[in-house]
Amino acid sequence: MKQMTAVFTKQTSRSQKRNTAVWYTAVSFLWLGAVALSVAADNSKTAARFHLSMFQVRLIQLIFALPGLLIVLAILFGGLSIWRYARSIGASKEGKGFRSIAYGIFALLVGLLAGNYLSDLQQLLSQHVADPQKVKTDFVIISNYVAVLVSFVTYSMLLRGSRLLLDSLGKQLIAVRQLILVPALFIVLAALYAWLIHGNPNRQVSTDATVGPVFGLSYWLTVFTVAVPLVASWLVGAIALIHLRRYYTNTKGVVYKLLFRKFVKGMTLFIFLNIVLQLLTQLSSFYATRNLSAILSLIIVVYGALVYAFILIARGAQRLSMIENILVE
Amino acid sequence: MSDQQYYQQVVSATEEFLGPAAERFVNRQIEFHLGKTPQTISREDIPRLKETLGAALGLLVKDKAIVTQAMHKFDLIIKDENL
Repeated sequence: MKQMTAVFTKQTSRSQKRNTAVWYTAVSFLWLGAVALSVAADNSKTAARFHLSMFQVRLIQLIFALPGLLIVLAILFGGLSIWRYARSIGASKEGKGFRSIAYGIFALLVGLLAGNYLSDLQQLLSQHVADPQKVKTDFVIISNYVAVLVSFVTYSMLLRGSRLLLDSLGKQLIAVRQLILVPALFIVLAALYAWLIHGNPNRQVSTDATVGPVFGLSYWLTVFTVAVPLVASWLVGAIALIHLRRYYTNTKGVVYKLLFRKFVKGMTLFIFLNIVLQLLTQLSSFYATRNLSAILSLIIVVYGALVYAFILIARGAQRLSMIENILVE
Repeated sequence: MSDQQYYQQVVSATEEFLGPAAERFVNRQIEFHLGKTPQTISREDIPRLKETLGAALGLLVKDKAIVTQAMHKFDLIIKDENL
């Protein structure tokens, strides 16, 4: 009998490749647009504050824009890889689950781009109005609510996806012990966050003319409409992660598990780092006048780790796609 | 054993290796290599399916023990022993 050989079939058709190129180009242009707006804004106050020339300020902006581009492209890479895998396995519960996870990641991408445009728009508008602090306050309120909304949408989609995956195994969604422990941990986190907000002198009105307020709202309004919903969204993300790991532990298939491992590692890293990043971003505004460089360095490290997480997610999804694209001749 | 039972045994043995992707994989191989509808396979078709799974697993993982284990599972089906 003739010896059989297995090969991977061509995974992407020409039209798929063209669509992928369109997505990458569109996202790159959107990102470059945000960078251009940020460079075009009048940064003379920032330059004076840090004793830099305008050229140096623009150079720093461009240098910081590169890791930003890398992260949006990594998010797109992760999202598209999961979405393609979901398509390849059709309308099964698993397929729907992976599709929902992909949508969650796309929501994160949209939120990231929207956040950048809002920040740039605020910079530009505040140069052309009589009361720039009012514009800064209005924009920071909008930006914070957009961030809460994006966080909720992202984690809710991940939760829906992970529930569908777990449903496909017919497993109980979450253990009782976890139902008590995880929310308890997040209540502590919410209390810590509320305490940090309370200690922030710039929370409602900025004491520094070059920067806007961090929240622009009264303390209790900030706690109940920004901090608590944001921490609640992190809780949703944590539950999604527990479901995903439960699916990984309980699913059958020695080889499937080996291929799925990278995906789970990537998702774990992504959810954990995204929460850390959101917390650090808030801290950076709290301590803008103190140890900013240390916090910015930490944010860059977290950005690097997030890029790695999305590459893991994408590679994991691509490895799972290998099973669906194998052809034995 | 009926054709339907052979199909169930093949899917169940493949599931131990390919998990939720097993049924899709088996269906594709049956349609492509045997030109049959998935649930109409007979005992004579098992050796060919055994070979396709072996070749596929060989490409997916480096661990030869996994491939050998899978082949053994299929041998048991051919011998009509309980899995």
